[in-house]
Amino acid sequence: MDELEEIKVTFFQECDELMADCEVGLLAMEAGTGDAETINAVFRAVHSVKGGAGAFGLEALVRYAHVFETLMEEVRSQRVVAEPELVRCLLRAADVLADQITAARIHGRPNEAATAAMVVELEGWITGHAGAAPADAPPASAGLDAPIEFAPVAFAPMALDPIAPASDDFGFQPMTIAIPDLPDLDFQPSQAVMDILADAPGPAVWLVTFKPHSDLYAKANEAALLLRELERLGSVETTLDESDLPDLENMEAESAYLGWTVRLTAEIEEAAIREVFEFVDGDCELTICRDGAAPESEAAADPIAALLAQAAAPMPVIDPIAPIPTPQPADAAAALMAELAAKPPSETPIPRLAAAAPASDEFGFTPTAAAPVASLPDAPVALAAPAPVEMAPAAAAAQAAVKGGAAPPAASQATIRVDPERIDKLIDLVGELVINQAMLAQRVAEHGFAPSSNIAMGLDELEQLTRSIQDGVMAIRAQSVKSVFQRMPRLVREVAAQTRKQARLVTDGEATEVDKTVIERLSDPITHMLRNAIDHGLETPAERIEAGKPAEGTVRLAALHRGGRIVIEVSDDGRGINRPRVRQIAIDKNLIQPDAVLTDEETDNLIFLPGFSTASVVSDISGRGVGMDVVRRSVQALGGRISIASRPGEGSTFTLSLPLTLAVLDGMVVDVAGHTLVVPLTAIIESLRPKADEVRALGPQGSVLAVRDSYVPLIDIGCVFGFRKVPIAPNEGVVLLIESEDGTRAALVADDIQGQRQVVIKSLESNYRQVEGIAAATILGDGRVALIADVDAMVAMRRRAAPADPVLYAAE
Amino acid sequence: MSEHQVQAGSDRREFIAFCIGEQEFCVDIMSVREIRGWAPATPLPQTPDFIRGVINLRGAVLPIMELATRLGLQANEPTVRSVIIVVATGGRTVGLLVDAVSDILSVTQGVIQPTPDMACDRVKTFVRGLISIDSRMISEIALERLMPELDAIAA
Amino acid sequence: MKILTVDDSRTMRDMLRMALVRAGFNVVEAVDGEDGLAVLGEHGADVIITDINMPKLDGFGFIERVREDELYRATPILVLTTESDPAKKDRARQAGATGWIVKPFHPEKLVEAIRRVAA
Repeated sequence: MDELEEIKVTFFQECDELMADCEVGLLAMEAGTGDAETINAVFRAVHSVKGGAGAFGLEALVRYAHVFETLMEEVRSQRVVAEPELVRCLLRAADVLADQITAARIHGRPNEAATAAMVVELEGWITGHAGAAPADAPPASAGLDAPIEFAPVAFAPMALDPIAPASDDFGFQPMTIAIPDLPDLDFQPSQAVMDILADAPGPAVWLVTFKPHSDLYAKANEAALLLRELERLGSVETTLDESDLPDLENMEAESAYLGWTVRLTAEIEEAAIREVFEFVDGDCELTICRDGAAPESEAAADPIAALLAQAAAPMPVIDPIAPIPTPQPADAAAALMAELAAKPPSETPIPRLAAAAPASDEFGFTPTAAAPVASLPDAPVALAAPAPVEMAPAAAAAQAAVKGGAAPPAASQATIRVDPERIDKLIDLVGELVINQAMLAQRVAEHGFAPSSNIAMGLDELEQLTRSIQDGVMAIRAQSVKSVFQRMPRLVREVAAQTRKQARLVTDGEATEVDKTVIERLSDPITHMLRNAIDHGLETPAERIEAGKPAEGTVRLAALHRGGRIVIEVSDDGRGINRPRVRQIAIDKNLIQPDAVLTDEETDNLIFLPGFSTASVVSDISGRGVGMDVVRRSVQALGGRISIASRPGEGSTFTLSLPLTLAVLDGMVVDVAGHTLVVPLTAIIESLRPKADEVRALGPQGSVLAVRDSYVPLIDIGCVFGFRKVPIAPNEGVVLLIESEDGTRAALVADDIQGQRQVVIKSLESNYRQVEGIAAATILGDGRVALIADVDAMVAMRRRAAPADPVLYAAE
Repeated sequence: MSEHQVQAGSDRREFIAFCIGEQEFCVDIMSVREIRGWAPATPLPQTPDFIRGVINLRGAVLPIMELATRLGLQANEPTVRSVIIVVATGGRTVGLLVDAVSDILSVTQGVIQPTPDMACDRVKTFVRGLISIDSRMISEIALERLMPELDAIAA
Repeated sequence: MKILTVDDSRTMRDMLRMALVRAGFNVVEAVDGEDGLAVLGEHGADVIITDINMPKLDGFGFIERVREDELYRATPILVLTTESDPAKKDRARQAGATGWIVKPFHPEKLVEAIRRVAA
């Protein structure tokens, strides 16, 4: 069923949020910054997971969450002290719960051994401390075998009619029988009718006596409704017991005086009757007993008898009106007296006889007090009709936000949930719109319209609108990196445990937003960097103490925006890269020449070379056997860069940078040897037309550009891509001064610049393959494909093509 | 070219036949997505000679393979008569640049003869079988063998 | 009939809404006790269904506050409990709850409980 499946999706989303809350709370407890509400929040998170899991029949999840919840309840009620050891246990318990959730989501099997071990541990805490618990403590034993009420929901399309008593076993239709007056409170159907009613094949006859206390009404229960419920069980014969009704002057407004005896004929168990009174247990006097045998069945099949029965049913029901506040003495007294003349004096509850359907008051009784009577709602027909759902506050707030543009005050949940596919589709469409708009602009320009012409100006406005729409749509899809970051504390715990290190994770910049296309690609490299930082970066506690550092190492994970890109930094305060060792390994593995001269930075970055692994025994922790070279390659494929900087003895910092989106890009459109190329704007420091004297020859073919007081190598784009053999004279073209990720500068030479443009990124790989030096493709205004240059790769290609020191190649 | 027809005779297959120079080739019609006129492609660097470049096919970037070069035949510069047969194979969509479309064939499987064990490797690699109609000989291109090469170069 | 559901779990609110809307009720929602009072003040309700464990103002406090309001003294309030924990049920009843629904609830049971407390 779709709706239920949708809620299930919501449930798992909510589980993620709850588990994040849970972890935040537990970490606060661990850091000693938690308070009672922190513990409460953790309890609620586990409790909610369990509640939802129960609704979906996720039995294993419910059972485990129940044990967890039981321990949290003990902690919450301070029967178990939240000592550090317990908090660490709870953190691991939360990890196991997260695994259980994942298993449930993918219909997989959770790690039963781990779960069982965790349960044993949790129960140890529960029982170890629950002994001192007060007597009213909930049962502390909450093992996996403990019975848990369990009722997987089986939603079937139901035509539930909550109000109108639908046709019962006898085919009775609810009818409103107007009873003109109230002469006999002990109204009874004729004995003949009763006999017929009692005539169902072998039904039992139950005698139910029921006398509410005033508490029953104070809790908003209604005697009438309970009697109506009894009526649903079978045929009833109701007698009002008004013997306790005092004189008017002695009557108390908030007291209950009336009782009923119901003779119920139905093929049911006593429990079914008890269930009706479940909510009012203790708030009334209640006796239930069998009332002899059912009368002989003679006329059951007689149509006339059936008709009679129909006429008699539904049986009269006592319909007390909820407590009516004492009327205002002055003006209401007269009215009250008038009414009392017509019916038995009673203020609260006022019993009255009415037909089954809570129809309008047939007695003309109108409450005199202005205070609301718990008025019975309108006719059941209206209630049963499908009514539009009242707009939830969140939706209302969202609508208000759309209308007013201002954030609604105190919106509890000002979010809407949208299928991500719809947004993706929208982004694709906006991409097409951008391309079409550019095509149109180009056509208009080709037809020689002046920029000041109406059509050109209109197009300008269209372009701005298009751009705004694109920005807006991209913003919808933007997500904070929190979703990725919050998975990392667990990874750190696990890796630290596996490597016998002590590690603390500090995160920063969780709110940094980036397009969903990038978020999805962040997790893997961050995981690798963190594993590497703990496995290779951090020393063992003993080594750290010896080095004068705290036993616990710190790993910092930070996100920030820099230069139109997102930068992720993973730094540790470990030993730093052992450069002599790295160098030796690189030499041993033939990655560099033994006499290669490398800067420290170049040495550090050797770890990204294919086939490099500093661990003499290949550890499965640092990237599950995947080397940093694979990480670098996958990052580069996204137009990203990864590098490492290290200070011996002090630690290392991985820096990963990625574009903010993989959907669009701001680029400089350039002409190169008759081709049109796009150079990402983020790479360009400046573009210039160099003077002849700023270009200096260097070596047989190379040349450099004098930029202020430094010399930057000139790279002819056309030559790099093989569009031409001989570079053009740089002073006849345009130079784009670029800086690659590692900080090296280069001057790219193009023939001419067309201008800056936002372009939609199109994959080359989906139908072809990756091309070295090309990041992706795009579609220009003329409908043709243009290539987007990967400037770092171009610089690398140029270095390689030059017959230079092989070190440069290797170190790249 | 309705699917109904194709399925009507269980061993009946339909092909799009086209010319490269003097020779005739064909591809299974089920692989063909559309046939377009020639439009200049954007050349790609670092790419084998049989890839002419990429074109925009309704927002997707489509590589264009010059089939003549791929088959080791003399390639002519594309003219207005040249066409691009857009085929889907191995999860990719690729445009095949050929001189002209010549026919739509409907043949029974039995008519297709195995490629003679002869001559050039390329023929054996890319030609699945030969169809003889009247006095024409039409070679069926094994599309899936044109493409894996792409992965090989990509590595 | 308008039903106010108060629960901090989105899943549970969704479940309740689905069952209630199918049964023909109008539904308004709140995310905790405080929000519940606000929504009640704004939209009113014929029946209230509330969770117990909630941030800010829990179910017990919420029920007590509702009962303090003349306007809602006689409004049926059903509490959602996960287990049939008698202590919690009793506390809820002391606070003024009309009845309870044990989670995980079956839609029919839910509607039955409502029927038992509301006309």
